[in-house]
Amino acid sequence: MMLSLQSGNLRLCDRVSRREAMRLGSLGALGLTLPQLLSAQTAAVTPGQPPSFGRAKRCILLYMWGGPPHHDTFDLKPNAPSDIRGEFYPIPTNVPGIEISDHLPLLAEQADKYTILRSLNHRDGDHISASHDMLTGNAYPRVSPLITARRSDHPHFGAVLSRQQPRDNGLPGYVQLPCLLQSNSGKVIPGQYGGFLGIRYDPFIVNAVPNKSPIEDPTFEQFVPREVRLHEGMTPLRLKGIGRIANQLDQRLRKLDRTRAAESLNSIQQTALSLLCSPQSRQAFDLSNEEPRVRDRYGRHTFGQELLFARRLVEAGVPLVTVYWRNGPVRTDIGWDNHINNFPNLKNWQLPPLDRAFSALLDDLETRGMLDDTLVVWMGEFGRSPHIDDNGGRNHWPQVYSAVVAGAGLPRGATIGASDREGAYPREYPISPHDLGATILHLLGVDINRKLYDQTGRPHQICQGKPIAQLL
Amino acid sequence: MTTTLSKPKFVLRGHTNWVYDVTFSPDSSRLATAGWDHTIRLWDPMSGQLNTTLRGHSTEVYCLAFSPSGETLASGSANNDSGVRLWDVSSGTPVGTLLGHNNVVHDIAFSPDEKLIASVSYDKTVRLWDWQNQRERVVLQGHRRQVEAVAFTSDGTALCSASADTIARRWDVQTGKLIHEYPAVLPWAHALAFSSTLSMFAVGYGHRPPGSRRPQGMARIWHLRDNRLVQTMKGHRNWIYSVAFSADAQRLATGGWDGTVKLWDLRRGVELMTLKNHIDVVRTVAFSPDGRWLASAGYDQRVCLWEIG
Repeated sequence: MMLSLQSGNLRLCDRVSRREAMRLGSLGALGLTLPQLLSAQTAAVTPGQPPSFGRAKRCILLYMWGGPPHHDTFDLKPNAPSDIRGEFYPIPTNVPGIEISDHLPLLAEQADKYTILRSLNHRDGDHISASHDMLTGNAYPRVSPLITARRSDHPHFGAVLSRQQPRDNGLPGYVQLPCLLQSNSGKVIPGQYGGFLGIRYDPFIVNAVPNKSPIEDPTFEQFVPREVRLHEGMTPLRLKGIGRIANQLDQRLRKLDRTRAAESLNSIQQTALSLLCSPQSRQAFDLSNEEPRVRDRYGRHTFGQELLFARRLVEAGVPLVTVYWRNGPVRTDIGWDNHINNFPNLKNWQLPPLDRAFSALLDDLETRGMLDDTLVVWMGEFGRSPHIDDNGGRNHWPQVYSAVVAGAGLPRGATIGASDREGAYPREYPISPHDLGATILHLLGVDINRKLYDQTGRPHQICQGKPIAQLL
Repeated sequence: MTTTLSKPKFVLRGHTNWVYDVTFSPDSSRLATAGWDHTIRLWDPMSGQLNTTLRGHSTEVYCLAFSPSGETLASGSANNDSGVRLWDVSSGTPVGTLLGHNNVVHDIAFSPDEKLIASVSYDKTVRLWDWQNQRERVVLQGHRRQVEAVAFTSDGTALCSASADTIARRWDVQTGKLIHEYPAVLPWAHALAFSSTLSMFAVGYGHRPPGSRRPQGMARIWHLRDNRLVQTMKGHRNWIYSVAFSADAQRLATGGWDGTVKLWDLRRGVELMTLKNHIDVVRTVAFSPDGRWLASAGYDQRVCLWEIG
């Protein structure tokens, strides 16, 4: 529902016109079915499924666009030659035997809350197609930097979840922060959308940075995304009234236009109106309701405030939130693609916010009693090369890399799989991104053995992988 | 006995992203701060009031330097912005740009006669500029990693640059030739600084002592004259991210990942005080030339002004 909500001139937030507002669909029973309804989804064991099935009531995906270096984060090689081991040291964590980078000291103190997967691997060295694999659990048909998102793509985990477990709580099926993910060449990364499931399964994209400067975004301290801001003078009650009239008009118009696109659009409009009118959703989207102390704990940077925002959203009832890393300076707004300056990038502006924000999220979820049924996944599309090149960079390396998973009853304080002595290839228990995808869907209660039907009714495999047995 | 201070004289708020550099004007009447919000802010240290916000950079601002007269401010940014910008301090207007670096400009220094500017960058080069004509004079190459600090000798005939490979290099300003190398023999440094008279070179880094779970922040001081390690300071929990000498080179300030600032007495080699107010990495520290103030700033977006003199 994301951009299409505000596509063209339709702006529900700050410059909504009467005509535009009247185009919105019916309200339905809005705002009445938030966390209470969700909590009613008990953790009962599904017949024929292992106990881990559906153990995650919600999920936060942290996607490190660009490919974070496993050698310098969660899989250090202190005994490798200097042009491989790099410039950071391993430090012990609060779990005996597990070491991570010395530049992740706060995460080292939280190691008893997560599991490190050290043997992820695939063959796709391109950001765009590899991201599709990581975000959908399915291989993209070809490896290329020239591809862009298409309706025929496999849908994002959130889209699959929305399709298989439709919810009527007035909140988006899944949310994406902080914006659309695009390559430097402007290609829209596949795997972010509803893909072949259609527009109604697209994510709600917030399109705002909660830590942006007041110059760029006057709502800096009272952060509410534009998409859920009401224009001055427009109250939820008034908007509902307009919505009712619009709904009557829609019903008449729908008799004239029974196309699938029109139905999808109506669904999007309903969700849009839900967001605007439901006090719960407006509350969830308003970051200023959070205590300054908590905001400080997550870090006053883009990534920190995004993770806090993600926690608020899942707490309110959004089942899945994907946070795409966007914390670099404009110069290196290429995520974690450290072809040059790997170590200054890491020590100056990648690892400090990651360490603070990710550790705060784990701590916060635990404190709130949410970690046991919230799945948190930290991942990128690949790792980085063992050898450091002349530019002080590490290059793309899908042959082995690391991810971190936490919550949803998964093992705590563990590592699964291992890379070889140089961090170049899996040494034991290779894991494919499709297996990780299958695990995410399994934990969210999506039966990956079922078929997923596209808009034309054609069946598709939900996921190419199998849940990671050692993890479950 | 170390004193701990938690209340700065002023907490200067206004930057809306990380603060990467702070510096005082030569007469100590102004404090300039550089932010990732693309702005430079000029403050009055006596009142803590914001005087001017300089806008013009389109990316993050990484470093600042006042000219010896205090009339001009130079700022360094990233490569897709104009690398070094020059500002007229009294009017707050831009007066020039120096283009040439193709990566982050991390430190800038004016020559004592104010005719030259030296800038150092993550592109591993040191560049000397005839800034009044906005002309590049020479590119000094030889560093193997990003260059992080630069300073002129007091007579202006030489300059020193220091790289993350922990090697400081001395260059002849007239010929551009490398005169000497001073290896600090450390694997990696997070913070580098020269004393104002260029007699000393400080390196901030981290090290995990055997049996310890966390790295410990350490700073080391070398005498450049004889390339001799003279002091090692320990006390920060985790990495040191910023170091600065006082104008008289009697004191050193260090800021770290642990959010603290420490003040060290270099004559006695002891810690004088710990300043605790920041809640995130302290990325930059600076003494005022008159010795009255110490400014610190970092990833929590606030600038703390400590009265220490």
